[in-house]
Amino acid sequence: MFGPLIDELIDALRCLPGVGPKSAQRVALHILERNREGGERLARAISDAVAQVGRCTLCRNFTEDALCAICANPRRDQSQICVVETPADLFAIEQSGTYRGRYFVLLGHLSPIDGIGPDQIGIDQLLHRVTEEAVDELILATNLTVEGEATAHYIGERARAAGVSVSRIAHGVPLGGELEYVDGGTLAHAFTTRKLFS
Amino acid sequence: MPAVAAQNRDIAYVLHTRPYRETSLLATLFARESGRFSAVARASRNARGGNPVRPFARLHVSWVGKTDLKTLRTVEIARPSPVLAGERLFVGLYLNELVTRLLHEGESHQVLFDRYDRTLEYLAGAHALEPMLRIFELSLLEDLGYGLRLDIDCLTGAPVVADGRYRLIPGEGVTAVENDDDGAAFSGEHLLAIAVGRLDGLAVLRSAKRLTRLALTPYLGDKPLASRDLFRGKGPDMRSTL
Repeated sequence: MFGPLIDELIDALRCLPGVGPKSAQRVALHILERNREGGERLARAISDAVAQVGRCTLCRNFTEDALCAICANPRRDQSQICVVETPADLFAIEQSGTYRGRYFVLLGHLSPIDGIGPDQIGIDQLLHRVTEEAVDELILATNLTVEGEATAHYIGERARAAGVSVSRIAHGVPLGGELEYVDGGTLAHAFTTRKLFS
Repeated sequence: MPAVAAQNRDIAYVLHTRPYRETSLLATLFARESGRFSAVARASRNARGGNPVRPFARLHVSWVGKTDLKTLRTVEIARPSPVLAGERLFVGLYLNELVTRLLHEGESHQVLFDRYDRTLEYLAGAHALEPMLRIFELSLLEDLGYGLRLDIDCLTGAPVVADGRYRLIPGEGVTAVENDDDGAAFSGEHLLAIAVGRLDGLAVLRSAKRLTRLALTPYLGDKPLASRDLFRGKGPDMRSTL
């Protein structure tokens, strides 16, 4: 409708999650009308990132170097590895500021219906790392979904067989949560995993 | 006055979910009256009190929508999901994969629904996994209209005898074989035991597993069941379950 260059821009913007034809058109027109400088910066940032960002050879998180900032940091606790499903999960844990060890990012979870098995999420690489690096504790921080639980169980069994102590993040009533509104399954979990109060 | 969209209600299980948009889920459901269908569960990924749209919990659901993709309106837990740990969780995933792959969208299967419901209850208890799974697989075939007669020779109509040897013709039934050079045939004794659901003894169980695998294959298409991979690397006991 506008000419091939603009049409191509609108079409390309639709690769972003949650951006349909209408939003894509709005963004394209905004860049051309009011913010060409910002548009150039965005174009450079995207092409640089796509060309140079790869995966950390140790934890599989995104990084432009061979090792990500966390794996390369000697002050991080070398004896703990925390297993998460996505870089967004890693980011959430980092934001909480409580964990000082290192990570392993699966980039997915076991999901038979989607055809994702143990080979697709790097479990062999994780187990190799666990046995090579004198790790004391493997913390399973996969999601509390059925697939996340299955993934945790699968990894946990293999890591235990390799002689590593395995733990799973606790689950239960959220902070600020009122019992009345917490669903039955979560409450049942909270009861079976209750701990001594001191 | 604006037309009010017709709202459907049913009891249902979630078979599978995947993330959709920022905070929603795309769920595959198995409802007692309405059969299998897909629906969007809005904003269910950031629910603060826990997300009821998850497999193995018996749910009261209501939904709207005229297209193949419905929108869930209300989801209430009728019976919380049983605590399935370890192998039993993997078996649960296998059941869901099987039902998802074999059921056609929108076909009502009440008998199968009740059986699935009961099987989940057994799964949460201490029942032996293998006989339970074999009975589920055989009934699944039966409920979908692919049921096997294991006590009659499907080509001659003669009754199956205990000391005979038989091979499976998928989709048809069993028929007697003269010679069993490759060892692929089933003993009549085992077939008769499987036919009446008497699944005790290792040999019968092994035959039953081989039989259901062969019988299910034509309906699964060329993609193997991925949940079988979860049992890889386990001891021979577990590997033999699925």
